[in-house]
Amino acid sequence: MKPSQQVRELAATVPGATTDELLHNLLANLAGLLGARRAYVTEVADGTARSIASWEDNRRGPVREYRINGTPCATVMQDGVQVVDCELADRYLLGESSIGFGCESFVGSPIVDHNGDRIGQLCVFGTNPLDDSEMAAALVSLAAVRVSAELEHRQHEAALERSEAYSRAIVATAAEGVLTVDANGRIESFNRAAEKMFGYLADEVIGKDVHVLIPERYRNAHSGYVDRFFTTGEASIIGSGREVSARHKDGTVFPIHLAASEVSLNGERCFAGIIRDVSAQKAAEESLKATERRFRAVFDQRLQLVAILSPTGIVLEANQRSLDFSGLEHGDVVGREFWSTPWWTHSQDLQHRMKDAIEAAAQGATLRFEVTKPRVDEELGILDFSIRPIMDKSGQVVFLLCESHDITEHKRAEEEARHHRERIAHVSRLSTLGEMAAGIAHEINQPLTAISLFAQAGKRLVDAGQFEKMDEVCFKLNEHALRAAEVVERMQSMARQGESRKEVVDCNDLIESAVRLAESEARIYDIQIEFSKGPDLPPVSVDGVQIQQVALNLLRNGMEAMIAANQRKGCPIRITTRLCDEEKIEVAVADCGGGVPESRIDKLFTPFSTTKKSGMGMGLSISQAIIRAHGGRIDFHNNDSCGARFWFTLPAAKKGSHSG
Amino acid sequence: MDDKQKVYVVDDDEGVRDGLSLLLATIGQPCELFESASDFLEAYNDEICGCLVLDIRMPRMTGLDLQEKLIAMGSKLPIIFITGHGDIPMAVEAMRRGAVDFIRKPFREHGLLERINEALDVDDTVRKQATDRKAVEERLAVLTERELEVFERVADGHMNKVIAADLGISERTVEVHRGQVMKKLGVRTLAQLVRIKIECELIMAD
Repeated sequence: MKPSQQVRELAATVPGATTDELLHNLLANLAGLLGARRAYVTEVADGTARSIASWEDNRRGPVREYRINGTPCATVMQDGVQVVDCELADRYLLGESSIGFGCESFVGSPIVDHNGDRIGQLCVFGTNPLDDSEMAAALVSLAAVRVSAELEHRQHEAALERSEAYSRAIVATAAEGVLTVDANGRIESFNRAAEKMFGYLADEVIGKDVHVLIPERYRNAHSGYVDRFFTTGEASIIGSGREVSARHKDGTVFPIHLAASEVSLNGERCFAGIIRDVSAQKAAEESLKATERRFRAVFDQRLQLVAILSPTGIVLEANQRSLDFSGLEHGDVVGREFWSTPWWTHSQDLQHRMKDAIEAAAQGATLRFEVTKPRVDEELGILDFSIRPIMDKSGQVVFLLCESHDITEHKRAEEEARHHRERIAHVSRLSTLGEMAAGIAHEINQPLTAISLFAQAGKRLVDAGQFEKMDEVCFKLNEHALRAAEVVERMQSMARQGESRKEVVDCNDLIESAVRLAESEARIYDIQIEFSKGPDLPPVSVDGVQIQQVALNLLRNGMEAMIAANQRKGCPIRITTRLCDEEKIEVAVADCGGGVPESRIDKLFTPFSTTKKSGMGMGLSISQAIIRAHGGRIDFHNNDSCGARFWFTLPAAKKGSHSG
Repeated sequence: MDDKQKVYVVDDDEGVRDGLSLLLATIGQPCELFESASDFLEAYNDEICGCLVLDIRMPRMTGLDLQEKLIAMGSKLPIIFITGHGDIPMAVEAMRRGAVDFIRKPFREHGLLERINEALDVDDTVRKQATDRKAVEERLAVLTERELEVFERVADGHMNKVIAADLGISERTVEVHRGQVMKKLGVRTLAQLVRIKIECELIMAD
C-alpha cells in the first residue's frame, strides 16, 4: 500500500459514534497498516501508563496498566515521537512481563492536550522489523494528533455536559423561580419553582411573551424598562433585586422579589430572572404591622398609664397617657431607671417601693398596690398600680409591664358612698340607742343602785367605828362603778361618729360586746341570749362598731320577733360564730319568733320598709350595706321549727394586714 | 318589833342583793337573799314574817308574778317593790294589788330604811291583829249560844229584867247564865266584862 493510500485509509477512519469506538477503529487500522501485533492509546501520569483503548492480536485487548520506566514509552514521554525499527528486546531489555516482550519494533507518539502538555501516548508494537520507519512514525504521529483532538473534544464535551447538568439541576431544584427571557421578551426557560409560583407549566409559557407573568397595569412600565435598557443601557433592576408585583395564572397578583441579570450569548442579549415569592413574608410583615398598630392602639389608649421596662427597670416605653398624667415628655422617662423618673420623685418612700417591686417582678412576681401621686393639675391622684413580668417561651423575663389606672374619681365616689353609708349607719345607731334607752338605763341603774347601797352601808359602818368591813365595801364600790362605766363605754362607742376605722380584731370579742349591749334589752323582755363562740377563729379586719351594729341589729330584730310571737319567759335567742372555710367567718342569729312572713321576704333589705311601730326601717338595709362594704354577705332563712336564722359572713383578715 | 321578822330580798342582780344585805346588816336587820322569784317561792311558808323587797323586773318570773302567787296563797307579807326607770305603770298595778310601797333605784338611804321599817310595822300590826282576833275568838268559843246572847246584852248595859223579856226567859235564868259567862271568861266585875266586849268589837271591826 502506498503511503498516500495509507494516510487516506487512516484519515477515513470513521469517527465512531463514540470516542471509544473511534479510538479502537483507529488502533485497528494502524495495527493493520503497520503489521503490528499490539497498539495502545494510554494516559500517562506519574510514570504509569493506563490504556484507554487497546488492540491486541486483531481484537480489543484488556486494559493495560504498566510502569513506563525502562520502556520506549518513557522515551516518547520525554523526547516525543520514537521509532525502534528492529531488535526492540535487545535495546530495551524487556522482561517477560513487559508490555513489549517478544516484539521486534516500536512506534510511539505523544498525545498532547490543548496546552501542549504530554498527557499520554499512542504506541504500536510490531513482531517484525519495520519496513519504512519514517512512514510508520508519520502515520503514528498523525493518529496521535487525531487522538489528541478527540480526547480534548471529549473532555470539553464532558465538561460542558457536566456544567449543563449542574446548572439544570440547580435551576430545576432551586427554591427560587428561575426564568430566562430572550431579547424579544419571549420566555426561554421556566423552572419548577417558577411553575409552582405562577401556576403555569413550563411548556405553557415557554416561547410566550413575559408579559403573561406581569399584571396588566405594570405591563407598559415593564416594556418601558426593557426599551430603556436596550436604548440607554440603564437598568432599574438588572443586577439589583427589588420587589415587584407578579400575576398568577389564575389572575391574582402577588408580590415577588425579582433579581434579574443580563446574559450575552453569541452576541444576543437575554435576561435571567430569579424570583422569590414574598407573599408569606409580606403577609407576616403586614400582620406584624397590624400587631404593632394594635399594640400601639392599646398602648396609647387614654385610660391606662402604661410603661414597659427592661428587667432591670430601665424605661423602654411609656404611653402618652402616662406622660400626660404628670405633664412629662418622652425623654423625661425613657432610658431612665423607672424609680428615678419624675413620676416618683415626689416620694422617696415610693421610689424604694418601686425599686423593690421591680426586683420582685424581675423574679417573676406580679405586684399590685395603690399609689398616690400629684397629677399635672397638682391635685393628688390615686393610681391602682401593677407590675408584672412578660416572659418569653423559655420563661425568661424579657420585659416588665407597669400598668396604672387612675382611680381618683372612683376612689372619691367610693369615699363619698362610704361617708354616706357611715352617716346613715351612725344615725341608725343613734336611733337604735334611743330605742334601747330603757334597757341601757336599767343596765346603768343596776350598778348605781349597788354603789348607792354600799356607800350607805359604808357610811353607817364608819359612823359605828366598824372599819374592818370597809375594805370590802370599797372594793365593791369600785367594781360596780367600773361595771357602770363599761355600759357607758359600750354605748358611747355605738354613738361614736367618725371615720370608719378598720382594725384586726377577734370576731368573738366583737360579738361578745354586741351581745352585752343586747342583753340590757333582753333582760327587760325576759329573753335569754345564748352566745356560742366558734373555736379557733382567724381575726377579721373590720370596723368593729359597724359589725357590732349589725350583730346588735340582728339580735334586736330577733328579740322583737319573739316578743311579737309572745315567745318570752326565758326563751333563747342564739347567736353563733363559726369558721366557714379558711377565709370566711359566719355569724348567725337564730330566734324563735314567728319567722319572716312570705310577703316581707322580698322587701326585707329595702330601706324604710318596716313592720315595727318604732324604728326607721333602716336596720337591715344598713346592715347589708355594712357587710357588703366589708366584703361579706348577709342573708336569712326561716327555720323549719320556728323563727328565722339571719347570718352574715366576714372575710378573715389576710395575714400580714395591719390595724389602722 | 318582832324578833323573828326578816327582810326578804328577791333581786336577780347580785350587786343590789349584796348592797342591801350589807346595809341591813349595819342596822342589825336580819335578811335573807333570793336570786329569783321561784327560789323565794320554794322557801316560802306561813311562818315567814317581816317584809319582802321585790325587784319588779326579773327573768322568767317577775315581781308581779310572785305577788300574784303570794296573794293566791293568802300571804299577808308586806311587799315593797323595787322599780327602775320606766316601770311606773307596773308599780301602779302592784299597788293596786296591795303592795305597801315601791321604791325607785337607786335608793335614798332614809327612804329605803324608813319604808322597810314601815313595812315591818305593818307586818307586825297585821300579825298582832291576827293573833288578838284569834284569842278573842278562842275565848268566846267557850260560851254557849244562850250565854253569848246574855254576854252581849249584859256588856251592853241591859238590865237582867230587860234581857229576860228580850230573850223570853226568866230573870232567874238570865242570872244563872250571867254567872256562867263571868266564870267562863274569868272576870269578876261587870267592868271587866264590858272591856272584853269592847276589845272584841275593836278587833272584829278590822
